[in-house]
Amino acid sequence: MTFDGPPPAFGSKEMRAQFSLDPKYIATNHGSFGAAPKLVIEERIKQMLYIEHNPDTFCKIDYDGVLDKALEPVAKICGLDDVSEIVFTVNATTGVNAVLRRLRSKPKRSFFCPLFMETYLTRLITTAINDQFVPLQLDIESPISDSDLIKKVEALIERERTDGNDIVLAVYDIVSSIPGIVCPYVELTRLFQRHNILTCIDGAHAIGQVPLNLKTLKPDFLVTNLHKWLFVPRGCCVFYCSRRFHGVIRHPVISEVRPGDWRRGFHWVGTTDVSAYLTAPAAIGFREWIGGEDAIMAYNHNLAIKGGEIVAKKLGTFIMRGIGQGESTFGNGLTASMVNVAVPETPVVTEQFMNGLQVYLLKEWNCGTAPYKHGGRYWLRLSAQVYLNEEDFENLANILRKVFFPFAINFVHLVPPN
Amino acid sequence: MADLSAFGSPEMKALFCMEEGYTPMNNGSFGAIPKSVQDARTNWLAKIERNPDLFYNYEYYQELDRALEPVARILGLKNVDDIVNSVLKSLKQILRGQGKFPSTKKQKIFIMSSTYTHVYGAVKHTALNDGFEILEMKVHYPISEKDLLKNVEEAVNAEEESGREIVLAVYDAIVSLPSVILPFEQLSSYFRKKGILACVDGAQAIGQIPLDLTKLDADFFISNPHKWLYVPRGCAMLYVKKELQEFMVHPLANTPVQGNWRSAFTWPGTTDVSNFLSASASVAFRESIGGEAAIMNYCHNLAINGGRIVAEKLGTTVLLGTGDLGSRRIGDDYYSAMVNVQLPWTKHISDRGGDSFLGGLKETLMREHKIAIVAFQHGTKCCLVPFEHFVQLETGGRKS
Repeated sequence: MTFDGPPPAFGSKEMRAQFSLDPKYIATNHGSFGAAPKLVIEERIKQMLYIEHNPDTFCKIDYDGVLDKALEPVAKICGLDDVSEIVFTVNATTGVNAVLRRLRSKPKRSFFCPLFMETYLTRLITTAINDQFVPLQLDIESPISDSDLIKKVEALIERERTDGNDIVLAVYDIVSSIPGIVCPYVELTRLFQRHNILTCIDGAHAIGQVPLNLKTLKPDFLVTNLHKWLFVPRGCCVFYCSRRFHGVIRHPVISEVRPGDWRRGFHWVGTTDVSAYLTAPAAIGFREWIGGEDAIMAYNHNLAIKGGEIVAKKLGTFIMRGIGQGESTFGNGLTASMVNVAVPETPVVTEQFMNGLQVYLLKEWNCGTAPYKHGGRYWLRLSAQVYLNEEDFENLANILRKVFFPFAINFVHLVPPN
Repeated sequence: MADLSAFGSPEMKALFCMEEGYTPMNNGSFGAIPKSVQDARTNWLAKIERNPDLFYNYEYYQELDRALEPVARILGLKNVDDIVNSVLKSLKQILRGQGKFPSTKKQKIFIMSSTYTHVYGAVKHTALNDGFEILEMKVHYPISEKDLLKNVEEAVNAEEESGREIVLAVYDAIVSLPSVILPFEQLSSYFRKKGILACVDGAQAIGQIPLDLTKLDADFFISNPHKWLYVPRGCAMLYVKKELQEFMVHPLANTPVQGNWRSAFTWPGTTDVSNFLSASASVAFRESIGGEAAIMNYCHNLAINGGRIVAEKLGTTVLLGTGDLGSRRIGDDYYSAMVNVQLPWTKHISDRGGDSFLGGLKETLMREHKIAIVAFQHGTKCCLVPFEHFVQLETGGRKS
C-alpha cells in the first residue's frame, strides 16, 4: 500500500480526519484500545476480501508465507534481522499464557516474580499458573528512582534465595500500564539474567511508544501489542521467543498435532481471522508517511507533558515525574506518550465515584481517560497521539474541572485559580 | 436484503465474495460469506473505531449477546445464557467439581479414530499434561448406527470391567473425513447415562443439519458458525450444560467477572469481535434467501445429485449409509451438504505415494483449475466434495 501526497501535520484537523474517531470525542485514552487510521482500516477490508476470494488457497497455500511477509517490517522496528523469533498473536494475554503454561518446576518449590503489575496481569498469573508455582509480587509505589527499584528487586531475590526459594521467572513492564510510566526494563533484564531468572517482558505498551531493540536486549520472552500504539487494527500482537525455547513454547490452544515448527503452532490455531495481522505493513507504512517512528514518539511525548500540565493546572494538582537524579526516567523522562495526572482530593472523589468515572466521562462528557488508584491517591492516565493537540487537552481540562469541582461555590477554597 | 435468487444460479453466486472462475467445492473447510455480511462486518468495524473506549468499556457484552441471540434460536435455545462465542482446558476443574478428580482409577478420554486431527491433538495434549489416557475406538465407515452404538458400548464396558474409568467422551455430530452424520443424539444419551461427560464436536453442524440443544442430552456442544452459517471466519460457539458452567475455564487465563462464566470467554484479552457481531446479519441473510430448512434441503439434494455425477464420471460410488430398513441415516441420509465420492485408481494412487499424491492432486486442482476439494484416505480412497448452493450442477470432469 502506498501513501501519496503531502502528509497531514501532527495535531492538525487534517490528521484527525485520517482517523475514524468521532470528531466530537475527546480521544485522550489511546493507550487502552488504540485507534487505526482510515486508510489502514481500508487496507484491512482489502485483506479480508482477498481472503474471501479464495479461502482455500489462502488457508492452505498462501497462509504462512503471507504472515511472515507481514512480520518483516515489524521485525525491523524491533531491531531484529529476521522474523525467526517472532510470531503474531491476537493479544498480549495469549503470549503470556503461552509462557506460563509451559513452566515446569523441579522438585524444589519455585516462585514467580511479577513486578509493576497491571492488575489484569496479576489476576491472570494467579489463575494461569499451575499449582507448582507461587506468584511473588513486589509492590512498588511510583515514582521511585531506577536505582531504588533495582535495589529492591535485588534484595527480594537475595531474601528468597536465603529462604531456599527459587525465583524462576520474572514478569515486568517496559511501559507500565498503571501507572502509565517508563520502567528501567533494560537494567532489570540484565539483573535477572545475572541471577539466571527467565525474563518475560510485558511490552504491551512498548512498540510505537518507545524505541525497541530486541537484538541487543535479548530477553527470553516478550509481548508487545501492535494494536495499541502502532496503528494496527485490533487484535494484533507480537510475541518474541528466544531461540532456545523454540522447542518448548506452544500456543495455549492446541491445534495441529505436530505443527511444522514453533511459529506455525502460533500462526495456525484452527481457522481464525488474520486480517488484522496482514495490515501491519500498511500501518507501519502510514507512520512512515506521516513522519516516521522517531518523529511520532517525540510529538506524542511533548504533547503528553504539555497536555498533562494543562490538566494538572486546571485541577490544581501535578503530573507524576521521575525522582532518580541523573537517570533516564528522571523528571519528564518517566513519561512516554502517556501522562499521569493526580486527581484533586475533593469531597466528590469517593471510591464509588472513581469506579464509575471512566464510563461516566465517556457517556456524559464524551471524553476518554483511564482513572486508577496508586500510592493512596487517585490518578488519571491520559494518552497523547498525533491526532490530538493542546486544545484537546484544554477542552478535557475544562470538563474535568467541572466534574471534580461541581459546585464550585461550595468548595471555593479548594478550586484552583483559573 | 438479498432477492430470492434461485439457489444455484449465477445471481446467487454473485451475492458471495468468491472470485470469478473459482469453484468452491470445499465450503466445509473454511466457509464463505455473502457480500452483505462482509458489509455488516465493515460497518461494525467503523462503529467500533468511532469510539473504541465506549465500545469496549460499555457496549461490548450487550452487543455480543445481541448478536448471539439469532444463533441461539437456530440451536433451539430460548436465550444466550448457556452459550458463548471453546472444553478440554476445563476438564480437570469440572471433574474436581464433580468429586471425581484426583482418582485412584485410571481415567480415560474416549474418542473415535475419525476424530478431527486438531481435536485429537488437543485431547492428546490434555492427556499428557493432566494425567489422562486416551481410549481410541477404531471405526470404519460406512457403519450402521446400530453397529456403531454396539461397538461403543462394548468398548466402554471393556474399560469398566478392567477397573478403568472413562470420564469424557468427545465425538462428532458430523465427521470431517469422511463427512458422515453420526448418531450423536443416542451417543449423548448413552454417555450421560453412564456418567461420562458428553462433548459433541459439532463443528460442521450448525447451518448444515437441524439442531435442538434443548432436546440434545449432551454436556457440551461446540460448533463453528463460520463454516456453514455464513459468519466471518474466527467464530465458534460453545454450549455448556448449566450444572457444569461454574467450572468452565478459558484456555487463556484472564480476568472473568465473578460468578459469570460467560465473561471469561467473551473477553480473552483485547480482540476484534466484528466477526461475532456479524452473526445476526448472517442469519438474516439466510432467512432472506429462503431460510434454514430450504438451504439445507437444497444443499443436501445438490450433494446427492452432484456426488452421483462425479461418481459416474469416475466410475466409482458415493459413500452411503448402511443399516436396517427403517433406521435413520441410511443411504443418502448419511450425509448432508458434504458428499464423499470414492476415487478410482487405488493402486495408482498408492504407487504415487498415497497421501502425498492426494495432496498434490488437491493443490493442482486448486492452482490450475481453481477447484477446491478435500482428498483423503479412509480404508479405500475417497474424495470429499462438499457442495454449496451457489454451485451449478456441472459435469465436473476431472483429468488425472
